[in-house]
Amino acid sequence: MPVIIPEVKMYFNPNLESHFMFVPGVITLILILISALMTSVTIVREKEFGSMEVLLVSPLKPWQIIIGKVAPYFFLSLVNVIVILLMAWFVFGLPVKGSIALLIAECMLYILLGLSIGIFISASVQKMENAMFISFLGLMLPSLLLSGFIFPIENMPKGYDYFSMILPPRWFVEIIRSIMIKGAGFSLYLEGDADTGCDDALLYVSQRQEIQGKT
Amino acid sequence: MRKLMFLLRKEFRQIRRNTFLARAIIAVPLLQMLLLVPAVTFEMKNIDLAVTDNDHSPASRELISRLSGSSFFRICATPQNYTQADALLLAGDADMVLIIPDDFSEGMAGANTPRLQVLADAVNATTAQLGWSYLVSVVRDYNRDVIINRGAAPSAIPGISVSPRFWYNPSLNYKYYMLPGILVILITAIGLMMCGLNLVREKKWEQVEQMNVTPVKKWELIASKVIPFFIIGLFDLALGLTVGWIVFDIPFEGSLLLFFACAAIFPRCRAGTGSLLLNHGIHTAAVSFCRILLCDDLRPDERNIHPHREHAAVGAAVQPREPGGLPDANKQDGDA
Repeated sequence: MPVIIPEVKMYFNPNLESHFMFVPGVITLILILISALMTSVTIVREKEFGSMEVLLVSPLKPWQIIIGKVAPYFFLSLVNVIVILLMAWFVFGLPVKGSIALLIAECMLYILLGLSIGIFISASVQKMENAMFISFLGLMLPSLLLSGFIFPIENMPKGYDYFSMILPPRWFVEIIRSIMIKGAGFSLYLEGDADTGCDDALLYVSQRQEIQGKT
Repeated sequence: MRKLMFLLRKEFRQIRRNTFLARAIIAVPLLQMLLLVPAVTFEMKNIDLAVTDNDHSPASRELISRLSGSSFFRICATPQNYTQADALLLAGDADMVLIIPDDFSEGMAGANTPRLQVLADAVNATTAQLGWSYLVSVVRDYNRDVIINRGAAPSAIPGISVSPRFWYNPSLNYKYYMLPGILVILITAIGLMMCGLNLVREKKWEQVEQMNVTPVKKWELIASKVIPFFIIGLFDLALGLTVGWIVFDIPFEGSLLLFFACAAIFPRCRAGTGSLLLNHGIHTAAVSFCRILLCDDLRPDERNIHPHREHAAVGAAVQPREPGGLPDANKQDGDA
């Protein structure tokens, strides 16, 4: 009587440790929440305190204003990224099997995206508390649950895999898992393009909103 | 008590006047519940399985057709060798790879033990183990059918037969499990954010000093800040349950009264009166966020960061301008 014996080899994570799954996802979540929260109040604050009109009548172009607002927070978030990666490495024992340069580059792209989301929210709402409300609540649960971090996207009903394509955390979770745990290098540079596309779109749209005086 | 009533009326008017927030209180839980609850499930579907068939025999083909016929797996690729399978796993194009050795059909005929090799992408350990156990059960069913077809009596096949009964959720519907969880997270987050932002707005527009000189007592002031969001939290809870009942057919077997009584007592439902100055205190935002994730007891943040200091250092505890008065009341309310 033949008895089939299947044998399994668990790739990338032989000990089946759960923190290989959780830590990259938590990194994703924290980075986008903090970036979006930081910038979501910058433009709204100007609107509330009345200095937005001063900025608009100055010879500054809208894109200059926006870049000027994003840049300081970008450098601040870089410090954040480095601290988080160091913690993941030393405290949680997460390896970085792929190239570190690619990892840092992808993180920079991602925080730029988070900051752009914040600026977009900021340019669209009129009150600071509304901005904080949207940026926190509107981003937290979708990033946590729809990005493939805990629940795989294949399990979700039909339209969700298309919907999750517009969510930056979905791409970044895959990227960071590939680089840190699977050891992907520059040759597998795939999902970064989707990130860049979202980013450009968001920066452009927030600039348009400002120009049209919806500020 | 009359003063408290007036203060409550003022608070509700202020909330209503902020049209965005008034709509967001209803729209945010509603939209997120409708969007998120169908998505969160561990029911494995469409696991990308790549098969390397080195045997090309009827036995192996039947095994592959059983795997592709099950609802769990989707045969996504047929790599020719181990190197290609490795590349598929690295690129994330396949979640599992099944390698059928070339002596599989001889093993099935009885010459030796038939073996199968499975490579699983175990970055997500839970789904890897689930996928593996599904594959094992499909293989075991195939094995059992082969033995029965050979003419062996079913009782000759060793094994324990288990017949499970799933209580409370016989159809193993994940929504029954996840909907209350998502609802609680949403309400905690909304209550926390709104109460914190409300208090900060008062401090920003310097109305706290005006409040301090009125005959309103400290406890009345604090109560007037907490009670509206407590009521809104309960309202959102009821809204979420209604959505669950109407849209997702979530049953409610217990007593509604007990449910809302527990929600009322439970600290999470009551908005913490923290001075979360979220536009400056990034660390407090992260801390409060961590609290939500770890479902900790909501204690108000002891640090009162002054709203007009634009460059408050992270972690600096800056004393507000008014001596005594509200900040002490905040600290006393630590266990509210």
